[in-house]
Order: sequence, then structure tokens, then C-alpha cells
Amino acid sequence: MLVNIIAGLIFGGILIFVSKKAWDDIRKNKCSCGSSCPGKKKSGKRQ
Amino acid sequence: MKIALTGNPNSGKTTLFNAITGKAEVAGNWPGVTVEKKEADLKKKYNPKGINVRVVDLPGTYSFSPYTGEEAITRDFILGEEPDVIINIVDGANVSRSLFFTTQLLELGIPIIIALNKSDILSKRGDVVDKNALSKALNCKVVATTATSEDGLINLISEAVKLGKEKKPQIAPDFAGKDSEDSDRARQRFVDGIVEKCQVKKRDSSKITFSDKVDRVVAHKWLGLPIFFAIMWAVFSFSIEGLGGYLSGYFNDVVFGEIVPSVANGFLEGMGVNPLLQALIVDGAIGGVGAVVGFLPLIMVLFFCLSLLEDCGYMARVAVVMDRFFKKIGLSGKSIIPMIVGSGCAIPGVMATRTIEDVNERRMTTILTPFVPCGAKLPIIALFAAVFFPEKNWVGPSMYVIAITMIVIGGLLLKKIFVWENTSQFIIELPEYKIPSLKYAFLQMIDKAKSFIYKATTIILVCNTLVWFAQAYSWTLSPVEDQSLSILASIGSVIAPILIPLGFVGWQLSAAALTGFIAKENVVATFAVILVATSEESLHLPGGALAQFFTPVTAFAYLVFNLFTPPCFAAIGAMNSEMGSKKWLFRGLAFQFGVGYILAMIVTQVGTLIAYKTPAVGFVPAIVIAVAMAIYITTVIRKAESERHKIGVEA
Repeated sequence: MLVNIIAGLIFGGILIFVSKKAWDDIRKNKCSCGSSCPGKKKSGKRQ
Repeated sequence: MKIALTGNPNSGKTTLFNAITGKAEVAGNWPGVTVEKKEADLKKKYNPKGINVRVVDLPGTYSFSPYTGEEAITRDFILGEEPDVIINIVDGANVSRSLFFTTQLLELGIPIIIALNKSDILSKRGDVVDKNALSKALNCKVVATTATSEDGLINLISEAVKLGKEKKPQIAPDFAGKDSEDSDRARQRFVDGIVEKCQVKKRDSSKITFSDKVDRVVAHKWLGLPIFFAIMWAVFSFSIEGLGGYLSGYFNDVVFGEIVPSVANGFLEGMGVNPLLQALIVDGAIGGVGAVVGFLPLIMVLFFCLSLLEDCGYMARVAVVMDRFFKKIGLSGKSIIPMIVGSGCAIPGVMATRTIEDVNERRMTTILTPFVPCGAKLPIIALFAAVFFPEKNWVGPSMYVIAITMIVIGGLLLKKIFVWENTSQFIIELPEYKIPSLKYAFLQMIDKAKSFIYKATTIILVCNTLVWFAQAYSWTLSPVEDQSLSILASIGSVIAPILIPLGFVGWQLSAAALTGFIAKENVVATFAVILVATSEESLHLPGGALAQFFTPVTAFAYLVFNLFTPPCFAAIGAMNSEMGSKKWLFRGLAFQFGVGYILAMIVTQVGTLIAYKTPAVGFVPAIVIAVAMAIYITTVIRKAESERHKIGVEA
């Protein structure tokens, strides 16, 4: 039982950490594929 | 202290920025790679005293009169934020053209230092630029640099920091006709005078160079296109079916197919972990991520090859080759640059469309760029090629040929559907051919690999865990024995009927396609998670677990569907930013979905009739959809034509 709780907590912790990272990337308007993509910003709207 | 790096496009600003900050921002051997400003601190090597120095890399521009969005970013930053020092990167191989912008910068009063970059090319040509004379003529320091080898950069940065501390205003150059109406001509005359005094050209500019000779073949009117296709075919074939495919096969079958799961299972079993939790970790998280990471060697080989091609100067020629064909469909050679960038990732590709000044051409390029298979789509191509078309090396490259064909057809359709007039002209500065740098290609490859792993271990991991949970549990949150009673099956079943005319039967296929809109790699990962629970067969082997859902024809159609329907959410976000209009975003997405859907339907229905002499599943609804679509397109085109006629615009 204790083993399951520890394993579950470790996996849950990793999942929360990566979810937070993925969410931060979306929130900060960064794309999800790392350094090769610049942050998204509005370009000047020109018609 | 804020130091701005500025200069003409393709003068080496981003290469210099990466060298002095240790960043790995995308640099390219063609103009227009940087489309927005990037900031970073100086690397310790260039800042031994640890002073607070922020370096800003700005998009290239030829003058302070911007034509495009990214040029306006440079002007707005320099005029609005007033950096402490400007490092003006002057292309040593094109001094005359670069100094026009330099003289405009000198009039701002901000301390300026000139980095006479690409000194290696200069000395290779035997040309000489008298730095002292140039410095005297412009009233500012000039330092010779070669950003690629970092030569002269320590001297450049220490001089720049010194200038920033001194805060002495820059003296503006004075020349005849400065305030006249024709000040641009006067400025160019002033620049020409300086160049005449400071530069000694050993090479006769009328002499035909090695690059000119190569271009006569490579950028030839008729030979250019077949050469481009042959090169791309070789690169993709080598990456997807050759070395990259071979290494990925080993990673998928042995490393992530046997070693990693058995070690993880052994470890968790030994610990006495509950089988359900064990299945979540091994089959869900590790299995899904492993199915994607297994394709890492393929990604690395492909981007290594593409970086070599780009660094030697070939990719800039592709824009010239494509210009005459693109012009016919309302695009120009400028559109090819976002598409080449988009072969890495659709997001920077879509963002690169802001270098296009014509609004219609920009919209069209934004809609068509995601058709180019990006790095995220490669695992889907490689998986389906390995399972349904083993030993056949045409599947991977054919996706790129179809992409180019669809860009042309799509462009023609968009031009017919919307009342657009093509106004832009295409001018590009071709860099000289050079031996590509292995170091550069290696760094680009590592950067792509890091990005791929980052994505696999963040968004893909989260999605896989959710997919595993959704396929193992029902809506009442109780574990299910039969996967068809799961949450995922019920979601997939809602969408599944839409895919029947395409010959795709099964909630699994719609569920995988749906997760692909979050990140395209999810299609592979979702299959890995769903099928590992129900099948003993390997996912990646010919005739493996996927074979129960597809014939080779419908497998090819599924590939086409996932490649040509709208890209992932992040890329859709970039499209939204660049389109600057929700109406155009939705039009673009509808167009992309229509193209992907109809193309997959044609592949399935026509392909099945030809290959198996019998209609595929969903033949009748497919005919109805095809007729309805043909009527709709004809009506829209007629409406557009009459509107075009009314305002006198040619199609």
C-alpha cells in the first residue's frame, strides 16, 4: 500500500510539474517546441 | 546596459547574438529569418566583470522606412526604447549597401560601433576594407568580426560596453543634400564616396564567380525545379527510410519496444506496485512518450541534412527557383521562406510570413505554410511508412511532393475564391555558396532534438496520461475491461461518423486524429497507448497492431488527412496572430480542413477502386460530399468572378 502511495505521488508530482510547464508555455504565449520557436506576439495588423 | 544588434538582413546578426549570449536562436543563410526581437544576457566569456548587459537582436532592415512588419519592429525599438549602444553589423561582403542604414543610425545620437562582419569572406575574396578610414569617415569605431568563428567578438563587446559607459552622443555625418527632397540619393552618393575611399576590391565585379556558375545550373529556369525535387527526395529518403529510419527502427523496436518497458515493468513489479498504476506509468506515460521519442534519430538526421543545405546557400536559391511558379498562383518567392522554415515547425514558419508586405500574399502563405510536413508530422509519416509500406522508399518523400502540389492547387483555389490581386515583387540577395559548417549543422540538429524531447516530455506526456486514463476508465470513473465502453471510445464515437466517407472506421482513428490537434506527435502516441492495451503486436512493425484498422490505401489516406487538416493548436495560435483577423483565421482553418478531408476521401475512394476493384467503406456518402463540394466551390468561384468583374480585378 505504502509503495503504491509513494509511486503514485512521484508519478503525480512529475505529471503536475510537466503540466505546469506545458500550461506556462501556453500562458506565456511560447510555443511548445522549445527554443527553436520564438515567442508569439502580434505582428502589426496591416491591411 | 542595453546593446542593440542591428543591420541589413543576412548580415549575421543572429549568429553574432548566439555567439555572445550562448543562445541557439534560429539563424539562416538567407535574409528574413529573424522576424521579431530577441533578448538575452551576455555570456560570461564576453562579460568577465559581470556587468548587467542585455543584448537585443533585431530583425534586419535596409533603412528606417519599413516595408514589412519585422522591419517596423526594428525601427520602433530603436526609436522608442533608445538602447545605450547600437552594434551595427555591416556585411563586409556588401559594404556599399549596408552603409545606407548605418548613416541613418548615426543620425540618432545613440553611441554606435560598427562590426565589419564576414571578414573571412572579405579576405577570401582578397578585398580590403580600410577600417581606420571607415571609422574616420563615419566618426565611430569599426571592429572586424567573423561571427561564425567568433573572431573579433571579444574586442567588439568590450568596445561596445566602454561606449555604453561613456554615454557620449554619436556625431551625425554631414553630407551635401542631407535635408533636400532627394535626401536618399544624396545619402547614397555620400555612402558611395566613403566606399570608394575605404574599399579596395581585388575582384572584378563583372567577372563570373563560382557561385554564378553554379547558379546557372541550380537556379536555372527549367533545371532548377527538377534539381530541387531531386535534392529534397534524396534528403527525405535518406532521413525517413535510410539512416534516420534505420536508427529510429532500432529505437522503437528495441530501446522503447523492449528494453525500457521491461526494465520499468521489472522495477515496478519488484516494488509491488498495483498493476493499474504500473500500466498507467509503463503503457501510458512511458509507452506514449517512447513511441514519439523513438523517432528522434530520424528528426536529427533530417535537420542535420537540411542545415547543411541551408548553410551552403542552396535554400536561398530555392526561393528564386520557386518564384516564377509561385507568381502564377498569386504568391512570390518570398512565400517559400516561411514554407522552408515551416518544415521544421509550423509556428516559426507562419510567423515568417510577416516578411511579406502584400496582405493577400501574406494571408495565402499563412494558410498554405502548414501544408508542409513539420517535424511533428514526421513520426506519423515514418510510422505509417514502416507498417504499411516497408522496403518502399517513396512514401516519406511523396508527402512533400503532395504538399508542394497542394500548395500550388490550394494557391490557385484561394486566388479564385477570394478577390485578390497580386502586387508584390520579389527581390532576394543570394549569399555566396560556401562549404557548410558541420558545427552549425550539428548545433541546429541538437537544438531540434532538444525541442523534440522537450515537447515529448511535457505536452505529449500529459496528453498520453490523459489518453491512457480515458481509454481505461468509463464516465463513472470505474475501470473498464472492454475499451469500447471507455471515455475515449465515447468521445471518438461522436466524431467517427464524419470520417466514414474517408474509409476510416473505428473510434480509435478519430480519437488519435483528435489528439493530433493538440500536438501532431500525439497521433502516434495515442495509437501506442490505445493499442498496447488490446494487442500483443508491435506498433511499428509491418503488419503490426495498426493493420487491423487500415488497408495500405486507407493508411495513406489517414496520413494525408493528418498532414493536411489544420495544424496543432500552437500553430493555429500563430496563424491567429499573423492573420490579425478572426474571420480570416476561420476561413483559413475551414480551407485547410476541406483540403485535408477531400484529399483523404479521394485517396481512399479512388485508390480502393483502382487497387482492390471494389468501393471502399463510405462510398455513397463520399459521392454525395464530393458533389456538394463541387457545387459549393463552383458557386463561390462564380460569385468571386462577378465581384472581380465589377471592380475590374484580374484573376
